[in-house]
Amino acid sequence: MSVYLYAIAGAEAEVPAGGGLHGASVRAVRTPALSAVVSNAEGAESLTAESDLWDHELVVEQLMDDNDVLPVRFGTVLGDESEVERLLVDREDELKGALERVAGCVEVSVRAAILAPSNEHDTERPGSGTEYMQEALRRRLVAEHLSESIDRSLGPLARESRITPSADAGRTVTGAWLIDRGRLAEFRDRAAQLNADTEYAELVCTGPWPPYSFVGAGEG
Amino acid sequence: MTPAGAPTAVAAQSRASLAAREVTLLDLLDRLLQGGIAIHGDITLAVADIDLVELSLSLVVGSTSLLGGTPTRGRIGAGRP
Repeated sequence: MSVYLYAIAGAEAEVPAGGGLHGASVRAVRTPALSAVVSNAEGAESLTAESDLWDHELVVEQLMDDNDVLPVRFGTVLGDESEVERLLVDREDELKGALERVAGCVEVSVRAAILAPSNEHDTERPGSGTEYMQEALRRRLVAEHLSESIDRSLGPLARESRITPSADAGRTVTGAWLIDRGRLAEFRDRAAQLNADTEYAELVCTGPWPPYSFVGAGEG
Repeated sequence: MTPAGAPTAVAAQSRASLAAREVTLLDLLDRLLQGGIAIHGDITLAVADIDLVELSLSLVVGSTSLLGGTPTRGRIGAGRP
């Protein structure tokens, strides 16, 4: 029976009470050092709905309430429980190191959208190639400035951070921060302050998330 | 009695919560599809296929305008929408 894998945690982690994908009952596969939270993979052949994402996420979030946790990438299915055990044994050192890295922490996201300059509503006039290039350059400079500003303001609160330049022509900046659980309120306050202080962009903070962006192989 | 300004306020509120929901979903997609521990080897990757990719793209395209003018902070998307 193939199994769907949600997350990896320490050996003592308790199994979340709620159901998993499509309501499947969730259980732990344990080794002396680690545990993996899994459910039967029936129905996991086709994971295409938004609710599937939330099914996965909620299992990991429940586990995160009381444990340090390594979220597993969505859609990971292993052949059977013995394969899960082998994974926990073969990669034990790496996985324990990864758990240490995120110990006591949660992930927070800040997504910033750069607002159009006030004269940009004038879009009916076809711009020249030069104007287009100037606008592209302006956007890039604004995005760089915003990245630096976000990093300066929020970076000192975090254990680690990753700021991603936008993939959409300088319109957004996205960042993830690994912060101690106890600093969540402080982080949100500072993000809200930064949003208020930044007239040319709108910042939205979400989380706490499991540390998806800070678990080694998933980065990049 | 309903204050005269209420309908507008309610509309603004629901726009803001729509934006909050979509931003949360975008953050969720980023994390679940690109983050997390990648398990290689003798495993089958279940299909997180085109529907989710399309959902992701439509959200990315929409996110800039959704964000503009609808500041939302703090924990949003605490669970299933």
